Amino acid sequence: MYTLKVAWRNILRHKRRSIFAILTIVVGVANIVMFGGFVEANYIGLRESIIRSQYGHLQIHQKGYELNFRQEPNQYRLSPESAQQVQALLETIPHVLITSRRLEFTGLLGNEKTSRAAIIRGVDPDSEALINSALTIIEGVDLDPDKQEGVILGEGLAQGINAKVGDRLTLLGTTVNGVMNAVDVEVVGIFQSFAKEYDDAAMMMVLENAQTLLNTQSIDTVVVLLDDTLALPEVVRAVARESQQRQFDIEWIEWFRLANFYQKVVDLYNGFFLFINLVIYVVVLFGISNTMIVTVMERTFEIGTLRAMGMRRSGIVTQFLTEGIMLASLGAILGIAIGIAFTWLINSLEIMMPAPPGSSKGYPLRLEYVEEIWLNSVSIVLIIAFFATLFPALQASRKAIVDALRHV
Amino acid sequence: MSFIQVKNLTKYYQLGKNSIQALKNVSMNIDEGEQLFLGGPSGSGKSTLLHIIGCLDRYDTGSVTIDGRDVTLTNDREMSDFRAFNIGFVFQNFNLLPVLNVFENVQYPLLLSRAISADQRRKRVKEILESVGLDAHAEHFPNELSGGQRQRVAIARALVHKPKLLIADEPTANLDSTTGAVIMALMLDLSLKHGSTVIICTHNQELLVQAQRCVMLRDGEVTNDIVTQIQSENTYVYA
Ligand SMILES: Nc1ncnc2c1ncn2[C@@H]1O[C@H](COP(=O)(O)OP(=O)(O)OP(=O)(O)O)[C@@H](O)[C@H]1O
Ligand SMILES: [Mg+2]
Repeated sequence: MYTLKVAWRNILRHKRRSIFAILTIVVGVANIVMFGGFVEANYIGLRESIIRSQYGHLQIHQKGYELNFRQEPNQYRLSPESAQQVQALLETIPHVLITSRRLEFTGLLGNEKTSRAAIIRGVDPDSEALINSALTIIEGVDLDPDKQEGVILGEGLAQGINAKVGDRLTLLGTTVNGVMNAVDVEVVGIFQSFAKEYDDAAMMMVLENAQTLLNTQSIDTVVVLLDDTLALPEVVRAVARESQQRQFDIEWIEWFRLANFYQKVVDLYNGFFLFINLVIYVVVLFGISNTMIVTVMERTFEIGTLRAMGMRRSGIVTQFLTEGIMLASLGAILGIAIGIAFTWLINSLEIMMPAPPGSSKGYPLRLEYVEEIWLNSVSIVLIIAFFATLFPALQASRKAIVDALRHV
Repeated sequence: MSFIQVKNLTKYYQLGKNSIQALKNVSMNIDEGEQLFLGGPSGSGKSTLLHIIGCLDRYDTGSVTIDGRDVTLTNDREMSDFRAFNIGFVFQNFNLLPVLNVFENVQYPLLLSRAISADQRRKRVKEILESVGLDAHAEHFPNELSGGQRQRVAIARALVHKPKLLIADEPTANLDSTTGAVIMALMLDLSLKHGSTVIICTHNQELLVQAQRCVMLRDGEVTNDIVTQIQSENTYVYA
């Protein structure tokens, strides 16, 4: 049969109409490709900044920690030996880039005039600096293992007690034996993370100094940073397997279970994306059905002729469906190509975006290449084309032959 | 039994609240190989009758059988297949597919009836294009041809699958009289060679007068059915 030939030649024959329909699809699909790439880049950016500004990829605790540490913080810490074994184990697992210890507690930070409750984290300064690469020191310097009494304060906390770099403060805490204790600290830096609420109360200090204050050798957490976020499930499987084999009494929690607002942001963006998709697809639907309705109308006499020659109704439907889907395929494939080209162009221009809320830094506009979105939009456009064409085609095939022949 | 039997055929058209009776009690028998001309004033029901015999339209009462088959007892699909194998049409406006060239247009019915191999198909198309004198124009598209040439293509297309019945509704109305005469002669000649039965409706008095068999309609009724035995076959063939 001539189905493909006739479809292709008719598309060529009505150039202006075909170009208009194809252009509608191209613009729609290219926009989906670019906007999808933008959304994906934001997910990745947000994800990585969350991982690197506080959670790491994976946090490992003593078993029972998550359930009990609020009531009994001292009972569920990792002993120095366990911590060491865990770190040794992690070093054997592929994709693990770095591990770092943390001791978490609350204390009272103050000077002569005022004091504030602070969420304090004792850290290994060198490895923590790598995990916290999205944490910005806005004044002073980062922690230094050689300067035990050094601390860095969140921007809000520093403002709250009016502390500046170089100030000496007193930190009050409770030892694991339940005795009040105090250490002198010196503000060496002020930081900003991605979340202002956190910066309003957060403080970091060198692990050993924190352990002195709490009179313990234990830690809360071994934080793990990977070289690739996508390798996380694989690493978690390895940790589960190995820890069971070595009978470690540990539990772990992934970054996304800690940062539940990430999922909310993703849901919000997905909602936007869905809405934009819907609008675009409605336009595509009207574009294609409009074109096909005109096409079918115009070829009424041809339909009558073919039917007289003995073509079945299904033959007529197939002919127009082929034409609609051919048109849509052209548009969709061209749209993907142009979307990719623009994605590349925008990335290479390195346009700077203003700082997002809660952050001080601008960032270059980047669009990701998301194959899944490309495939989806091609399939959806084809499905739309199928239905947009099906109804005019069915109508054409049901037209009485004599009426179709009379139509000139 | 005749090849085509039309018995007490009536056909109504519904136009809003009015119904128009386009055919009233039409009866006729047409033998295999016969070449019948249908005449009568405009609106007398010629096209309506052709469409019904050509299995393109339904009727209200009476019966039509072709080759012993009641043509309205079947569904659309069977009707389509019946047309594809048994009937060829020539239209007043040629009705060639504009996006297909001459060869492709003529080959189309062979694809629809799916009866023969690709090689045979090509051979068949070549033969019939030669017999309508257009073998040199096989690659041309309809818009590159004159009206007469287009109708030659249409005739080739209508006969390429050797249909038992050829139906032509005013095939020369859009041609000048000289070209029309040549085309008419060609069509009759070719269908004679193929043994196809032919029904042609026309306003051309000359053709009606010369016809082997001429049926006249008026207001949906047969007013005259003249069979001229003495007419020699050759008289009109090269008119
Ligand atoms: N689709 C239709 N709807 C309503 N009435 C119709 C329809 N087709 C034909 N008629 C009517 O039926 C009658 C016969 O029409 P038909 O087309 O068969 O005449 P005709 O002899 O072919 O005329 P012409 O020589 O002008 O082609 C006319 O009165 C016409 O108006
Ligand atoms: Mg007519």
